Amino acid sequence: MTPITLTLAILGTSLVAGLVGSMLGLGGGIIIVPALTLVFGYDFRTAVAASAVAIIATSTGAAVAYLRDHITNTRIAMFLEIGSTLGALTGAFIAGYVPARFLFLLFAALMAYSAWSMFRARNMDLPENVVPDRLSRRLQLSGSYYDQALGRTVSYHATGAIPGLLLMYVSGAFAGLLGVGGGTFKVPAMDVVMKLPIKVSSATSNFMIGVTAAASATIYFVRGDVKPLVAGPVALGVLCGALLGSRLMVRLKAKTLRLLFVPLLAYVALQMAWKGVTY
Amino acid sequence: MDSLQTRNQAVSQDVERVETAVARLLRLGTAVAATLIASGLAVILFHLPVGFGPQLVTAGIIALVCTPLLRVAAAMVIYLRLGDVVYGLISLAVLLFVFAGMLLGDSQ
Repeated sequence: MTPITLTLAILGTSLVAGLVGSMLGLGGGIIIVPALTLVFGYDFRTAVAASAVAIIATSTGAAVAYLRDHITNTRIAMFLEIGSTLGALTGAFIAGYVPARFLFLLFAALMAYSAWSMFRARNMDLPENVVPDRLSRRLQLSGSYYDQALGRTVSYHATGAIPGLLLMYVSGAFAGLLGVGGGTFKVPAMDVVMKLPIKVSSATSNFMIGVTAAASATIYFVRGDVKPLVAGPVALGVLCGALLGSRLMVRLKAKTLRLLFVPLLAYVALQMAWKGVTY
Repeated sequence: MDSLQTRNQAVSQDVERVETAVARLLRLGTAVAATLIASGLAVILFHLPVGFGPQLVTAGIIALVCTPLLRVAAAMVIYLRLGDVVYGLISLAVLLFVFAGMLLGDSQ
């Protein structure tokens, strides 16, 4: 492969990663890391570093459109970021003291449960009869947005602020310990526990993942793992994909988004269970 | 009821201000990063007679990495200026945890 063809191939793959990542509130790392290591033959460190840059690109690229459409809830994001950033810090502290096999299996079980919960709610367009808890009311964790697929304005309230925060802490700790669990854990937590509309969960998760990824990307940068000729096309491709994905997501029905999410969660659960068994 | 409505309107206006400012910052960060990376890649791949292609890509990646952190810092400043101390402190806590994570990760 010539350098130009290789760059174009990475750009194309990253565009798909950004498209999927921005629609589902994930970073796109789930596509970037296997593609760079298995298809393009890069070493794991380079791929993980490029994936951190990809997560930031997805988050930043899609956030502009989601903020404009009021689908991202900045208050919920900021509140939950306390949990995810503190969790990531704890994860980094205790890494090496906790058996990785146990963590992989625990993460797999949580993902499988999330997949099952989302599958059960597959026919639900919007959460109904949500009664906000005291903290959610105090912090004004509510909002409204115009749903293009439903053709009306959707008003919503969050509930379960403390369980949601704790789950974000767990998500951050997993990210710090295993390098996984960014959006795949955040979206079901907001959807199932905090009873937010799936579009709000996805867009808000998307907004949040950029901050934790920025911390990891800086560390990879200092260590010299961010290779310009790999991370550059990845960032550019993902940015374009995220811009497209954010325009596509607003037109999708909640049911479609859930149906896209469930197999992905099931795949991550199986992958983590396999890692746990073979570790 | 009227005072509650007025308060809710004030809150949504504040949220709107924060979101507009954050969206502007993200748009600027994305545009700068994309321009720098694309220019750098063009210089490298088409062997243009400019010696700083990789540096341009690196500068673009740095701009991209800094954007989410700047948006937390910007949100903190705006919340505090609007008198929303709770969210100002929440943003500050997030920034501190992120920087602590960077320092810890770097030392490891």
